[in-house]
Amino acid sequence: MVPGPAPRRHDRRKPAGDVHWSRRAFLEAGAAATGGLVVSVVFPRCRGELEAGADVGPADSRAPRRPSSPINAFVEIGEDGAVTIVAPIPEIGQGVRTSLPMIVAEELDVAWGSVRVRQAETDERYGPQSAAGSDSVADAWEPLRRAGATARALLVAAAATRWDVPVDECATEVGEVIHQPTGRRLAYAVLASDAARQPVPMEPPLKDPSTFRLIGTRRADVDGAAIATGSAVYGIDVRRPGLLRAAVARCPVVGGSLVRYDDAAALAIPGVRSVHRIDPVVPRDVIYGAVRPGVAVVADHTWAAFRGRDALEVTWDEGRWADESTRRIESDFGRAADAAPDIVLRDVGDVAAALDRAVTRHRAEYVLPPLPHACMEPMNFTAHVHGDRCEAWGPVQNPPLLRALLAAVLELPPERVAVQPVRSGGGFGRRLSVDYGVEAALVSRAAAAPVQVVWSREDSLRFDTFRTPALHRLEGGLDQAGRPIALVHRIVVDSLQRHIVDRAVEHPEVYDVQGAADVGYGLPNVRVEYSAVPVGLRLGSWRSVAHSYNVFAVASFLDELAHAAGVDPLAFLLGLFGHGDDRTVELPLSGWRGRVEFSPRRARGVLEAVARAAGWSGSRRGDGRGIAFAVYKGSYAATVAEVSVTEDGLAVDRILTALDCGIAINPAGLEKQIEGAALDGVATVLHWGMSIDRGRPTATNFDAYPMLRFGADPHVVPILVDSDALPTGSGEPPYPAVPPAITNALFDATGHRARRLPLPTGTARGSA
Amino acid sequence: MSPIDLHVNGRTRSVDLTEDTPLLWALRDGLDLTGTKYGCGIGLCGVCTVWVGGRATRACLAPIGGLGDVEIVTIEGLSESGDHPVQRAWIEADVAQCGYCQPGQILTVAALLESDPDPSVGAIEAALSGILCRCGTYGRIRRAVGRAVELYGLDDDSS
Repeated sequence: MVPGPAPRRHDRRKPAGDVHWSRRAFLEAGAAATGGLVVSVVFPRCRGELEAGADVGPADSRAPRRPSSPINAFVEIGEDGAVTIVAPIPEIGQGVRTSLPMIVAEELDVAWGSVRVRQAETDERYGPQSAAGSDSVADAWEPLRRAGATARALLVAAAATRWDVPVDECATEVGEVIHQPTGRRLAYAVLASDAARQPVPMEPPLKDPSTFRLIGTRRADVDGAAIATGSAVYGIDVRRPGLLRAAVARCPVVGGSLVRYDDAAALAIPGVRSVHRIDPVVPRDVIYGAVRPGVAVVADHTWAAFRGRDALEVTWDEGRWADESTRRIESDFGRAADAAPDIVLRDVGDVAAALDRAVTRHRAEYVLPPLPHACMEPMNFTAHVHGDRCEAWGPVQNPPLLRALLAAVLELPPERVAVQPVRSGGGFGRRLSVDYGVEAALVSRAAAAPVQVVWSREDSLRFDTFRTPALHRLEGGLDQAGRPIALVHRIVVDSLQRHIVDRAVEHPEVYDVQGAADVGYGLPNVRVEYSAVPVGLRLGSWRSVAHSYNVFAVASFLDELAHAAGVDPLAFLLGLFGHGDDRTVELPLSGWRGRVEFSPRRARGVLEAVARAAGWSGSRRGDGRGIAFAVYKGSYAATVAEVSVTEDGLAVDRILTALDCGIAINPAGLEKQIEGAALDGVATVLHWGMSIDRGRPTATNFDAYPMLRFGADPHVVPILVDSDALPTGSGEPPYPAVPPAITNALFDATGHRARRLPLPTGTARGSA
Repeated sequence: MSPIDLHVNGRTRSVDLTEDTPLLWALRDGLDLTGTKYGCGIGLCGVCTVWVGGRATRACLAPIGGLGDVEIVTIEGLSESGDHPVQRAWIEADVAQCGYCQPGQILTVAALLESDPDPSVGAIEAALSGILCRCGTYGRIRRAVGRAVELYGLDDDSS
């Protein structure tokens, strides 16, 4: 079991060993060869022994069940023609409950209006189930096309059997099979139960993309009505019979321990039932699921749990990180940057010699803070550990990881553990670290009851898994013509790997160098160096991971070089990428991280598209504008930011982002991701950064941790670049270029270069 | 401790909770009305917005002890079948990403339109700057408000 960010698209899990084979036995070798998902296509959707179930909201919101037939694990067709399609990957606001079923529906050939979506439980039959790394559409594209195509082929075969005609005389048209020579038609609804009994084709025909009717069309979120009426169920809305609530007092400093506690006052609070010590655990060495030492107050309802926790008296031994602080982190990072690097990750040409002969040399240092995720829905999870089983429900980005860790911690076989993801009120990477899910199971077990552990906003900020703080030093050299000939980049962070798995690894830098070491600049002399410094915080994945800090440094520095060269920043970037063939950047890392494809043509494409949309070759709108580029796992993005500056401060007026992410499933969804990423970028520059003192975050609610508010948001212009490349992601790719585009615009407007984020309070017009 | 009556969405319902319990938790845990969300608990994010006595109110800051005599409306009670003009506008405009803040946004806009059916940009900003969206839907919210104003006006005209 590989924890952490999702495996790349060509990683395939083997089929589950516990599934019962039907008469339509399918060669396991065949299933493995064509990708594990084929197993799920073969077998009817059989719910395992444990049915965590998707109907976990309050009773009123549960829809009545109608009779329907499963065709395969992904498709079920009702007698009334309703088509239920499974969404395999958790929804965190990135739109996969809409886009992934669209893929199935396209190949199945049904009307989108007849589709209902069911959220998958955690099971290998569904293939990839992790909402991470913007991998969902990339990983599920082919398997879901085949799932839909297979179901369609089964329906056609059922019709052909019924009519006693050859299959190749049949076609489908939006929910019906047609016998072309005679014009006879049968609705899928009528054929569904027969279809499940047909032999499963090995290679069902896939549609020619030029005939797509649904993919590439704008579709509203499938849950729009549920959201607007308050009936959408989030983790914190899960309700079960006899459900108790818990609030946990956790050791405030990483690595500390519980000394003693007194629960007398807590137990006297009306509604409080019991208090339990929660021992720290690192299941299977996976820090991503590690539970802090704590004291859980279990109560009838949430308010009582919070009040009970407030009434606890707890003594902690805060341990070795008790005096961690922003000041200490920055000074440790500075010392590491002064010293020799731990690792030289990329060393092309001869950087030292090139810098020596450069006509212009320029250096800069960038300092970035830890970033909390601040999801709108506070952390929570619901678990029921009873007898020899565990059922769990909640907002989680990596349900297979949680299921594996629950099995380990509870010492249960995985098939006795059911994890049902529900809609997540934001993820941004926080819900990949599944500590909160493991903790809920431990509390349930201790309380011998179903328990929903609810984290307050304060808990959610204090015990976030932060984006690492970062310090970057860059030096570049320009030749006589102002062309860049050398670049050195030292990255200093705490290793994310260290916060995922608790064991020594050959490449602690594995998750920390993307967006810096792997960009195909085409520079003749490039060196990227890395130093890791441990910090007294729990770290985790934060929207775009290493790109979130590396791209800020690189894109800012390239802008600085452009200005040093007296060259327009757009022209500078276009010149840098050049017109060459696609390149491969090789790094001493395994898998896709070690061989990163880079297309100068696609890089130029997004830069030219955004520049055109922004009227870059014309005169400025506002006081300043900046441009930046980022590539994230095959998705290319470029952003132009326009700002204005008055004595009241800085305002970000407009953000334009061009995105090339291959075939677009749902353009409306892509636009939403661009819009959201743009606002994240503004908040990153103006507001976001957690300061640390006495071993703990200092801002514990929105009074001290500012968020971007309605009215301070810029106008956002998404530009979708047409592409027929295989689909790549859009959740993270439009983010990294936004903050540097804004600070580049600030420089353009004022001559002030922001090398530290966030900007000082009061810089932004209207900021608190 | 005796049960407390609350008038919610046109019905009187009883909760077995102490007087200091915030309305937010009485709704969510006492009555299983989970459409009203918990976001910060200190009245700064607005996702707990409900109508109390017709006014947009932060349920996290309203202890139930004082609420026995007022009408409370939650997102579940805004309309019979999701067809309040603001809800229709929201669905049309495809506003939501994660959607967690949207009930608070919708109730705030609906309350604004009750008192001011054609609000100025400033009035809209004053109302909505109090509701946080982490996913960045403010631009779509703006479009939805414009559409809601149209639909609200049409509804008024036809009633």
